[in-house]
Amino acid sequence: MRCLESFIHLCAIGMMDEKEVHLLAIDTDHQNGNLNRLDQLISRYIAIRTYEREQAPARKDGYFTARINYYKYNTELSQKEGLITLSDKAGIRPGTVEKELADLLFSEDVQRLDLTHGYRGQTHMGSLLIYHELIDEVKKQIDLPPKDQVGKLVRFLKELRGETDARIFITGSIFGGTGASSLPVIPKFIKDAMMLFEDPQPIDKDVEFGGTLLSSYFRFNVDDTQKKREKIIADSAFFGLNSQTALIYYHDDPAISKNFQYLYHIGWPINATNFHKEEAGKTLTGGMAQENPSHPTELLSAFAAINFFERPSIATEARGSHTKYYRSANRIDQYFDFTFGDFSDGTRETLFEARLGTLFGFAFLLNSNSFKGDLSHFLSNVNESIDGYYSSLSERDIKPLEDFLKRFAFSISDSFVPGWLFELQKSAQYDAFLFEAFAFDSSKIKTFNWGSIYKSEERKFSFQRPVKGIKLPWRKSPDYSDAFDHFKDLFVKTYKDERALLDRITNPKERILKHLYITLHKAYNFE
Amino acid sequence: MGKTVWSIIFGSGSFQMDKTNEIDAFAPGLWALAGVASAISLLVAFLLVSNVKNEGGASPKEHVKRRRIFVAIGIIALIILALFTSFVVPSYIKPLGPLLSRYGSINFQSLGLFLFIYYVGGLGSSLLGKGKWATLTRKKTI
Repeated sequence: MRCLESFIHLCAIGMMDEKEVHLLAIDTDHQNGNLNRLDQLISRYIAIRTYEREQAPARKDGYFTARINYYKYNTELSQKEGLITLSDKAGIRPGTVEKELADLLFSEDVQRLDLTHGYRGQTHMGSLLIYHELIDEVKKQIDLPPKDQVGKLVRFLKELRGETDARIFITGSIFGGTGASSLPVIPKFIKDAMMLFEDPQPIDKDVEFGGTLLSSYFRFNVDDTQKKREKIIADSAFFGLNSQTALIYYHDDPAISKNFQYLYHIGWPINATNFHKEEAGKTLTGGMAQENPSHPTELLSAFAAINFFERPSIATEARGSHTKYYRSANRIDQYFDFTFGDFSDGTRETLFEARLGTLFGFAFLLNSNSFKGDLSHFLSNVNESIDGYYSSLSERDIKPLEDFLKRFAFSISDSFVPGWLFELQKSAQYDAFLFEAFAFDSSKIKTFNWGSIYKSEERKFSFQRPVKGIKLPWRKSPDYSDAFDHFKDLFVKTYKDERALLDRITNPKERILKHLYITLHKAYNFE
Repeated sequence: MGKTVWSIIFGSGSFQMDKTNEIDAFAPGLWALAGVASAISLLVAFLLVSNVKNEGGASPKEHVKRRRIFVAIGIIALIILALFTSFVVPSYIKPLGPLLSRYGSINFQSLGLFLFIYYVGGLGSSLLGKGKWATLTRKKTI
């Protein structure tokens, strides 16, 4: 889920220009905190792009340019009350043939494992269960009259029917439970499910599959008493070993080479980040409280997806090829000194730098003492200087953007709450993660000069203004107010200079995003 | 420089004006001083006004601050000019009486000229201008 979260943030900064994405999230734990966070994020993303009940088409050169259609499927087991086990699911009774067969394949502990929080690293069981559950769900929906086929899974598959140039990217870890179980079987599920419709259409031969081989990158502590009691519990001590075994499988299995045209190796060879979280002295195996912070490997996974979507199609003569990719970054002792180019491919490095940093800068503007996190105040403020150009936007229209930006970077209510980008920095365990270290100093973020977040001098606000270049002797070093002053001057200038372009955008939400995009790019010298 | 206001300012002359035509000849210099003073005041006001930053918040009041600065600079400059023209310059006029009365009306004209150039010129340029200077006459900055 967190890989998808990173992907949504990349769509928000504009890394998926002119693309329409159908995003299917499958989880075995419907209460999972990370899944809820993803749900919230996507609903805000779509709300930002929606005006008068219509989501805008995909655009280019701006923020929130990709059109996202979201489909979510929670496995049946996760939604049942009480203890659900493999034995319950398969109807295995003692003394039956089914029980004898189950004993051959699964240990007693696995057969009695509570499945409400997923497969807990038991991928041999998980792959079996997830494949059949998804197939059963499609069959169930297809048996209904077409107007009643409202299941998200079926809607997703229907979108795929007849598509000749679709790309399907599957992301999830290979060392855990649900993701590791699902990754190898999803292409097979999609291909098989397409044949279940009343008028079956095999998936087009030009549709390509890609995926991540995301190996171990985090850990958590396991309580021994809990381990003894629950018998099977995900133990991060085995994540490295799980990854190794999985990679051997992904390397050797011919079905994988056949089903996936591209796979991206992603790993974290330095200190695994500790995601340990306890509730009432118990290691969390899932549920609402499992809301782990984001990690750079997830961002790399999201970029792998973008690379896959942007690739030229495989030539007819090379059809059936299978390629694995990896990427390395500059490692210094126990941390990575990441550059923007380490995430994006060579041609999109500046694009990533510009779009991530400019939106990050705007998040600082919003949360600084200038507006204290209230975007409606920002709107009122700028409206006064530009003839109320955005007066048709209500507080309700812009609230999703405000909430999105708070999750994107950070928010401050009673205390500082890190967002996605701050979580990435913390998980990277490196102060100057892509930006200046002081940009991540939570004690100063309300007041510091957010015009200087980039490491490169040419990307810092110059504060050079006509005549005002004469600095008055009592003016102190620039702070948040100087950054806003510079921004607002440029915002108003952009209104004047780009009026024709802005007027052509009929959706005022899209218009203000474009206005912000142009202004922030000018401010950070990305013109 | 002769018997002009510039001789007084730059201290290059110790002279006395005791004839009406000398007072009349002094007038253009005084008007020029008013013009120069208003130009300098406008420049100072422009620098100070432009250095008042755009404020955050839903209803920013930086334009009020700028207007106060503009008015205050005009008043302060007027007082300084008036102190000079009303107390320093008369010490060069002898005998006082009719000459001083004639000088008084010239002085009054020069102060009026200062006010006219500073306020009408300042507000006029604000109306036609853009940026922070424009907020002296309107809230929007374009």
